[in-house]
Amino acid sequence: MKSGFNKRRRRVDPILKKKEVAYVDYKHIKTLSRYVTPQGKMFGAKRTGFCAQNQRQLMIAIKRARYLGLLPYIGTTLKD
Amino acid sequence: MESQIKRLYEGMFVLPQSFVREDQQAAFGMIEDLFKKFEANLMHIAIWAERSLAYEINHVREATYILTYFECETDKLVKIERAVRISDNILRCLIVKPMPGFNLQEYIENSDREDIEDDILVPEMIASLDEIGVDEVKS
Repeated sequence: MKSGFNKRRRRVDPILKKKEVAYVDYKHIKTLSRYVTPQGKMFGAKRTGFCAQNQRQLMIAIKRARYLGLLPYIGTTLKD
Repeated sequence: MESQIKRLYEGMFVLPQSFVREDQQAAFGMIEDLFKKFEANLMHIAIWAERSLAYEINHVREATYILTYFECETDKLVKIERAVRISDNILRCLIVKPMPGFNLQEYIENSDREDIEDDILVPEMIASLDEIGVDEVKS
């Protein structure tokens, strides 16, 4: 008997689904802040549903934004 | 020695807001001089944003972001970054290659638009996040 556990479909990458070249830049703070927890931690690929390339692009953009002071290294909840 | 090809780069400079508000021309002049010193062709310079920093840098909380596009030889980038690090008035500097398919002329024409941030958001990305229930982080 086959169990249904391994049959779960992987979610389609939201960027690739659009089939256009979308690029996440460090200046897109609104977009980036959606992929960061209130503590300032990035979401993993499992949570974002991105493919490896897009997840890497997101990671680089978040790190650049942090360096420029656009996003926090440590979120407001942990600062106090 | 062979001369290197000049490539287009994007430079973001973070300056204290008080310094820029005091004399904007002086702030722009400072960056222009920096590029002139290292033989870089400055193509575009403008204030990108005035906002409070996510964390304090050199006891500064409010900053002005100056976005520049310039053509420069690859060797000179390190020298520009080193000069910025020594400078007292520039808090941070990030020099990167522009995003793929970037058109400077198109960017300059559309730079006055206020809704430019909305273009960047991919609707499918937002929809997928709303499905999961991720809210925007309130700063």
